[in-house]
Amino acid sequence: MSKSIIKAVLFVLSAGMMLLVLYLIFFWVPTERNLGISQRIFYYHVPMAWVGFLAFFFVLIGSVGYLWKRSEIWDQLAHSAAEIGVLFTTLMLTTGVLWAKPVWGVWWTWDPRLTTSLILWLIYVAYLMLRAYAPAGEQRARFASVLGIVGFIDVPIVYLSIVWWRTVHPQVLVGPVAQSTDLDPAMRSLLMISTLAFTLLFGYLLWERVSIRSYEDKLDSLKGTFESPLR
Amino acid sequence: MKKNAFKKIISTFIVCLLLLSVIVTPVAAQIGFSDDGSQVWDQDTYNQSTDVAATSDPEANLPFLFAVFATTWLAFFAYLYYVSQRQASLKRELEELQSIINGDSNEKR
Repeated sequence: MSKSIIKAVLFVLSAGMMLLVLYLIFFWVPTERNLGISQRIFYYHVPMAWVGFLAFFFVLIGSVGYLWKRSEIWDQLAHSAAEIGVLFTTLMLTTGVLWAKPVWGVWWTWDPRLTTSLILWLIYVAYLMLRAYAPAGEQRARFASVLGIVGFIDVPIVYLSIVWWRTVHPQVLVGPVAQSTDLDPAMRSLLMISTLAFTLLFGYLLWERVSIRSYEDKLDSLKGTFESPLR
Repeated sequence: MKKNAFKKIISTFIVCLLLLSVIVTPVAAQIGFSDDGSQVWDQDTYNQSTDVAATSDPEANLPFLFAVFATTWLAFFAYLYYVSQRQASLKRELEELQSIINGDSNEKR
């Protein structure tokens, strides 16, 4: 199976799943008794947070891989994953703000979960800025790899902030530190389906972004070949 | 040379900022709490707003729901558009360069 076919299948699958999730959110899942219709934001907000964490984990893998093997592909993976991670974390913060207003009565509060999430976003924005400003070449990749590894420290802090500190943020409902399991089965199923859909979308976007980075690198090396006889 | 030095200063500054933010994360997470661990923000306000969300019309918050889905989908389409445009322009540039290089090598022969 060629790469383009796999990419096309991934695109169709993720687009189909995203449409299915939209249908299920509006026509299938029951409305939450206390929070009303605004609770449906949860089926986008939580998977986006998960994809953000997953993307930053890929940055960690790419960064370790680059420092170990010194191969361009690892650097391409880390850079691409960071860009997508920042996109999803931005959306996670935005949807969180839009959820907070009707439920808490405020757009933002300096709650541990919110504060650590904002810091996580700032860390990876700084990572992208470093990639944009540092001199091109091996040094930039090395700097970025170190930051990619150090920056990941904040991911478990964000996840465990609910356990470590008192917070107004809703409890973790799924995962290893879940504190409550009384989620409606339909809601739980939809959350899982939505998480899968967003993960597939992340896979597709990462594939596309890595291929662009490889084109950029090829172009740079071709430009080098073209310019060298002029020196 | 000066440009490279500037870039190095900016990079070092960003590295320092990042390290600082990782260090201050646990400290920053405690903003909103006093030393004895009690919440500084007004818990009654939070309870009231939650009660409002609970007792009002379930469809009252529809604009927020609409804003979430609209923002998300707009962002996805904008990113996909950016990616596809970037890919197309890179491919074009790559082909142009390849043809120039091939042309040069043919002339040398």
